[in-house]
Amino acid sequence: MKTKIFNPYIFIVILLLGCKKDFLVRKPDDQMTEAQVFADYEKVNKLVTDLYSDLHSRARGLAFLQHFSLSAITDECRGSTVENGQSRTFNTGGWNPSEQPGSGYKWADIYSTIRISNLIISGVRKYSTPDNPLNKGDLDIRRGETYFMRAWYHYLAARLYGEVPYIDFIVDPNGDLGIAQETFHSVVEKISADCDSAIALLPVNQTDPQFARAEKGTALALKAIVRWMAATPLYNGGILPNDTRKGKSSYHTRDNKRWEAARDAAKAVLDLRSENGQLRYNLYTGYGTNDFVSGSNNKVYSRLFQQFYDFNAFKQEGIFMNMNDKWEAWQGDNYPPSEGGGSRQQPAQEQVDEYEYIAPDGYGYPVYDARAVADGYDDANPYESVKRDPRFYRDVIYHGSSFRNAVRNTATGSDKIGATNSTTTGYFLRKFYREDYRPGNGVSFQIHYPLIRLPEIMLIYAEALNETGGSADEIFTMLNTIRQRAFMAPVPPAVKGDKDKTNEYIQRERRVEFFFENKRWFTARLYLEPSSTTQLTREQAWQSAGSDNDTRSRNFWPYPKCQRMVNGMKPVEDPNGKINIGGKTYRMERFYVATWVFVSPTHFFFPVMQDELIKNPVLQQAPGW
Amino acid sequence: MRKERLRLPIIARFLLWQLALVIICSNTVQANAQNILDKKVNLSMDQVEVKKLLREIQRQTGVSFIYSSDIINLNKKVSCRLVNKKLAELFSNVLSPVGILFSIIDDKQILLYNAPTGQKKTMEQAGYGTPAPAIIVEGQVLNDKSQPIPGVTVMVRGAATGTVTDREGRFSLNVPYAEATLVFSFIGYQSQEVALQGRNTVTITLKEDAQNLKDVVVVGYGTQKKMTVTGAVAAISSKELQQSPTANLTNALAGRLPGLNVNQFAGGEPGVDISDIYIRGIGTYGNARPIVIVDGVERSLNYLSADEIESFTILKDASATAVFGVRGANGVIVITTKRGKASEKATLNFKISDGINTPIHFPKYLGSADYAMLFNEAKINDNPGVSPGNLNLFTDEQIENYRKAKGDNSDGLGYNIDYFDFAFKPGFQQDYSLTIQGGSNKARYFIMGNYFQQNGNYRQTISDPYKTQAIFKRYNFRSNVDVDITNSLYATLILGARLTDRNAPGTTANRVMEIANTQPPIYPIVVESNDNAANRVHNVNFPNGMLFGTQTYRFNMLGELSKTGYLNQRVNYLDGTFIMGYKLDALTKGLKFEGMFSYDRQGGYWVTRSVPTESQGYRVYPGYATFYPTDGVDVYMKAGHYTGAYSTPRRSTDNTLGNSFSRDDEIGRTYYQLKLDYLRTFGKHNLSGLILANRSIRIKNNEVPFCYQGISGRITYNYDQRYLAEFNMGYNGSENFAPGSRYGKFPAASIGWVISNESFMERTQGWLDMLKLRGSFGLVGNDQAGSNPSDNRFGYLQFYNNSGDAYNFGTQNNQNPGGIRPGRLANPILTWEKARKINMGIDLELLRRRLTITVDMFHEHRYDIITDLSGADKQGFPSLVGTSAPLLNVGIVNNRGIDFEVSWSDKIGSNFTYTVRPNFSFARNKIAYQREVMRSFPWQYRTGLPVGQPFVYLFDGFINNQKEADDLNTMNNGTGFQKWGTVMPGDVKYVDIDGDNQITDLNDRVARGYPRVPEIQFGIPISCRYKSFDVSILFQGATHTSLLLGGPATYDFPLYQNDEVGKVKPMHLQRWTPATAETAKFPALHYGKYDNNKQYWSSLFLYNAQYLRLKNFEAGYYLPTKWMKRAGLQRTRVYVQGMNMLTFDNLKTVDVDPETNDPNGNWYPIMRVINFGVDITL
Repeated sequence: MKTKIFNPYIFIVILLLGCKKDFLVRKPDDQMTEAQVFADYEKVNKLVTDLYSDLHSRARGLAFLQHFSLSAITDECRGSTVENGQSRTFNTGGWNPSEQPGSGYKWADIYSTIRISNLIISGVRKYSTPDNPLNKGDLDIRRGETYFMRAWYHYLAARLYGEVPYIDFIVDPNGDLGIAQETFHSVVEKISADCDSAIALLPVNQTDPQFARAEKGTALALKAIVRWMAATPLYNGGILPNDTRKGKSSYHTRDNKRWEAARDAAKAVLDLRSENGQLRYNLYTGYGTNDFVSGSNNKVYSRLFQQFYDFNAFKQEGIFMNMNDKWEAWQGDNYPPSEGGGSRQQPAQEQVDEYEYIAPDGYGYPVYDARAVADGYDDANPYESVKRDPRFYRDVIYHGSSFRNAVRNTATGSDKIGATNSTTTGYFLRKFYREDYRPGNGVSFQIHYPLIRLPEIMLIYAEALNETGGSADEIFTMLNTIRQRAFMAPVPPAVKGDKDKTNEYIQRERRVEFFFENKRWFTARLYLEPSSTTQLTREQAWQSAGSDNDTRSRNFWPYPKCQRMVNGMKPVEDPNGKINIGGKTYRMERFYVATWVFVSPTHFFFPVMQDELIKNPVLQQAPGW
Repeated sequence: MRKERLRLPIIARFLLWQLALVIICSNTVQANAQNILDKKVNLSMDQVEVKKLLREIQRQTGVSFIYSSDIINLNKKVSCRLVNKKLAELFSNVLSPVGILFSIIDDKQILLYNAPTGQKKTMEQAGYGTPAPAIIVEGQVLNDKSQPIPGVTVMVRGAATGTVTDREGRFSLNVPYAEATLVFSFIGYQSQEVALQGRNTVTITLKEDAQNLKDVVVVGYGTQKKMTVTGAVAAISSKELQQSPTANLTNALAGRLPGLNVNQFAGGEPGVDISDIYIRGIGTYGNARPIVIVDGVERSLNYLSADEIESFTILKDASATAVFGVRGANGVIVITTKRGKASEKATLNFKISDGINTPIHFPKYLGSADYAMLFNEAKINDNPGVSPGNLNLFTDEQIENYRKAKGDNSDGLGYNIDYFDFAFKPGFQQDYSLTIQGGSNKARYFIMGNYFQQNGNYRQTISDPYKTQAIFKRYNFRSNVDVDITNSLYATLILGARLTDRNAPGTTANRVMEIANTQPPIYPIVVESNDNAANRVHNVNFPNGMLFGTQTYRFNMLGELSKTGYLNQRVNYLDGTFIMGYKLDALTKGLKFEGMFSYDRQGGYWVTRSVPTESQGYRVYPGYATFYPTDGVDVYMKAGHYTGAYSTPRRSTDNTLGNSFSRDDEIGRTYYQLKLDYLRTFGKHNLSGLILANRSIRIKNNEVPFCYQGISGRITYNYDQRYLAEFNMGYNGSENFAPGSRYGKFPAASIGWVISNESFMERTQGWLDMLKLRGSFGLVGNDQAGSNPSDNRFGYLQFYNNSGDAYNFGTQNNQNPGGIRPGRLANPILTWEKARKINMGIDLELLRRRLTITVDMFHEHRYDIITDLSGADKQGFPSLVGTSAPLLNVGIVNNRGIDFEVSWSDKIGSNFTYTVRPNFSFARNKIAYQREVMRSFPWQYRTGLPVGQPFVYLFDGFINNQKEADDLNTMNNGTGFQKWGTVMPGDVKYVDIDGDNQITDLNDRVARGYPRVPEIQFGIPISCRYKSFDVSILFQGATHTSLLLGGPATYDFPLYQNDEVGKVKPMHLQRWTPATAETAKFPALHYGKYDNNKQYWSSLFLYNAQYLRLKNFEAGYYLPTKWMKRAGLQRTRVYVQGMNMLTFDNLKTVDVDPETNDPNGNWYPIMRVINFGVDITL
């Protein structure tokens, strides 16, 4: 049958002709090639921004381990059971190369950021990226920041793992992937070298709107910090039990040159001057002796609080910081239950004992000093029998302290020790809190977290001077400047010239000034405290101080720094008690809170994750793991 | 009978006319048909044969004549001379005189018949333009045992009349002409046509045929005769799917087909209860989901109505799936929707059913007294060395009080809340469906409207102005029209639409389940109102009661159900297909060309008028106000009524309703297909062929379109229905791969031998009806990588993208634009994964087809699996590289198994017939290669094991005393024997597999149990009928499946949501204590996190999840025909259905349902439904 109108054959042919050859050629048009990225300053700038945004997960100050501070796995604080009780997993030894709470801070995370810094450094060179047409010189500054960041992220890795590989090249996936660790000192040299590259390119001042980017002083300070680390016992003359590290021979002998290098590097920061000839960094000294945080019963100086909120403080003494580290909601979690909080981090008695008191002679002494009782210190009324370091009142809420105009009571009600969600040590955290914030009241703010503050460099300098036989006056100036700024009495003159006593004050200063600033976990290890004979002996002494833990803790303190227990203080109703709250009188009594696990040398370093070791057998596991 | 037709010159007129036919009721056709006799003819012929005359008239007018050449003498010669005369004159002047009478069928068909002898009918007698007088035919339909069959449909072929047999199998029918052919059909019997040849009484014997639906089977892009199929396919019909009163078709499939693996792992929440479906288990550790083809196009099968489905077929082996080429490796589900049939009387079917649904199973938890007792024990265990006085414990007195307490604290003895009881109740569901189908020789239609509503099971949903009950509504519409435009040209229009409308509380089902599974019974749901002045303002704001909630237990059951607002999700699926085909018999006989165009859209939106939750850190708080005693929640640990003030953890007034609008993925598909079909028989040689080209463009939101194109072909040949051979081929490509790796050839060959058709088998004919051996071998592909393939697109290209985060610089905290990040490394030679499949099958029909057996054995070798090496188990890049390895084609998985179906149909006595048709599927896969990392010990390899087999620590008893604990803790330099920290008496000890005196993650976990997806699934459908009664039952079960549970499902005082701690189950009463050390079944109790005992990867919590369910039950009854006749109905069936009626399993201790798939047991249970329905056919 034939038809004039419908010819199926023609139809078929037309349809087949309609097929285009490139039908399957599709490309994601919202993405860029490498050449496109590096042909444009603005895109490279965005890549550099990434190096900073990674600080939010790799170097979170307030919440290093997910939402816990590193503090909670040191003798600064005990963590609560919230959020999988992450900190307690560390404290009870439940972490290992295959399971480790928290994310974002680990080996793999750090090296993924390092890769980006390497891509930037080589990409800019390979594609001859043009400079910022609007502001010549920006490209070099970004390059300088990139060098700094490469150094910085290696520092973060070395801090956790000790010996790490230094990746200052783009790893070729088709090449040899068996990359081994380097000794710590070699890593320090490479960090310093990258810092030097950065110093050559960076300005002294990063001014608005670029403030908070790395600048010359940031790179200098990082150098000082790694030089100091290299000079501490962990890498310079101390003996780590059962050490298996590659460079252990170089760590076991003390080399004073390392202290000298630390000293010089710190000095370079302190001496850094802006173009106008002023010193680049100064301690923040806003607010005076009569300015107090409201509702604190004139106990918390505004300066000490504003130090973490006033931008002038960041400009003056902030050397490097993590902008928008955490938003206000972090706070509510740490509040006492009576404020709707969950007491996430509870300061430990070990930390509280470190805050000195101001003696009638006008100098500061530790409460465990022989003269403390004579000076009026009463361990049953430990917070107000003598005036403690002003930083104590800023850092800790205790039984009887005034917080938000209310006297806090850990003896009864919802803040009672041991009540659901309440403290287990007798203390609540106060440092960094803005007291105008309440859950749901609409106050919103960001907390910028200082990663490097000037006092850290000052203490490194003071310590290095002390170790290298430097000027005792200069050491005192450093210490007392820091203390004076905090309205704290100076170091007693008797200490001057006594190397050990001086060191004791320096270490205590570091512990108090940097409470809850993510330093303690590292410094305890750098000084080999947990495995030191001194501390182990003291642990023995504690053991034999009684038949049960509570008695031991009442009888023997300050506690050994072996990281194996945590203690607290509880109010006991006592007609003779000096603390009067709600018509009842209390005395404070030390008690034992919990046993922790610390094994040497295992818990000195974070373990390299098991799957990484399997994929790269050249790597060596950290000692003990 | 033979029909001849002529074509009208204008095609369009045909089309319009045929469409009109579909719409217009057949009775009105007569009126329009009057003018058929007014058509003008020009004839001038001398002594011409009648057949030539008719052909000429047909050519001139387009009128077709229907006649039987046996009756009408076509060779009779006539003469006529008509110039521009009406057709009527031809009949009256030319044909009537030679004894040929006529009857108008419709306005283009005229039936010719002989004047009965002795009855010379004239034009006038026949009536000008009116049909011949009706002839009444009566008869009876019997089965082969001479018993009457009620309910048999009796139709007149070619006419729109028909009836149904009554209880005695009798019928009475008006037929338009004496030579009509009657068509008898009834489910379960072979249809039969009977030419009346003038008889007006007939007695018919219908042959039973359990397999009649399978005489033709659906295959890829077409159908084949069951007898000659050589691939592995299995199918079920609409009737079986209709037995499950469920909103989602996927839930009706379990246990229905051999080789189909169906698990309702998603649970039973209305509107989100979609089952997981696999064909022959899992053949890859990549994406193992089969593709679904509905009416020839890849489409979603979700929410199709069982009433619109004609057949549901799975294509299992390479032979059946090769035509799908790069998409076929995981098997293919082919669904065809119902179509009208030629010569079918218009039938209207109305179905209405109502049912009650209840969640099938809730776990039991201990009440307050036991909770408190075990709480104390756990707290003391948790704090060794700490004096119990420093712990906050329940007093013995309070525990006693709890035992006496009523539960709501009205007696002041404390609370004891049963959450499941509080939250759940039975729900109602309805299903209404109206279908109309019918057709003439020229046009066939099926139209359907269906409405399904499922009301949820939440009890407390009324305390606010808006309703928060979970309600799911489904609307299905379908219109399938087939039109034969001419003898050769045909067109089909398939339109299907589904609209779903889901209402749900602003909360999630998971949260409701979690609250019920975890919140301690000692806390109230609504706090006790007291006269304390401090609460006055709250009492005024919340006159119906203040909800309890704390910083830890943030969510409140009543709050979740009644104060979270609601959300409304509406999803629409629109599927449209237009097919036009042309039979190219003129070119060569049996050749057909068909073009198809289809355009589908799927999209939806969410109106979320829910009360927004609030976050504080990782913590999520509800948007409604909750209160707890200012003196701390520990007041509930003591008897009495709280008289103090209440505080609120976050807000003291409820948040206002939010109002947000969002869209679901907008998915669209454009599909073109050209097909050339060939089917021809030359003597004993039967040949068929298919060549098909298609192209598909799938749009998903703003992503680059997903494109496929390819050519498929098939040749089948059989000699005398004895020796069968088939070759299938797909040649197609995907835009996922680079040029060069883009197109692949996927060939498959199969052969079959029907032994029973051999002459030497004649001896066995008494008992062996059919015996066929089949075998196939071929290659199929899979281009989908990972569980979310769209994340892994363009693996061959390397890019930078804008995914980096922003950072704020400057003292003004200025946000800097988001960073740029390098994307995944590229693998320029990435290509699809391939499956080499072998299938051996045997089909048997025995004992006069009472017993049929189909067995298939298969082996699949999947290789070049697209592998993401970023996991810890794969040898990808070390992290030092700083980026993960690109996708590689490296993996190999072997999958083998057997599936079979055995059917036995018989009758007992004269009225009782029954069928038992068990099916069985077994599939076991094994990872043969996956570029696994080097392991220290052979038992650590995942390679060599099935995909997803759990690796667990082996339970090795409990630590019996302090000394044993101390010994373990001091091992390994003090880091202990077990890696989760120090242990104590009553803790679980695990087997140190590698003997290194340490339990470590990699070395001491071994493969145990089975993967979650069962290796064996089976179904046992049983159906029987007695007179007008019928009963169907489906038992369905699974075995070789393991369930690994943690969290609230198995742990004592589990930590969940990071900081909340749950409760205890009766099984925890069998915990270890020093006194029960000998008989303990569970470790010593601990509060919250305690990884050593509450270890997910522990053989202690690995359960055998095998089960047997009474999945479906249906009983129906056909109302007596006499009543129906009086009501003007053809037939009416009333029925009752049950779903998930009974479950037998091994999970009594842990007390969860075997299909639970949430690792924490927070799983909305599947539904038990009891449904009553009426099915009326007009």
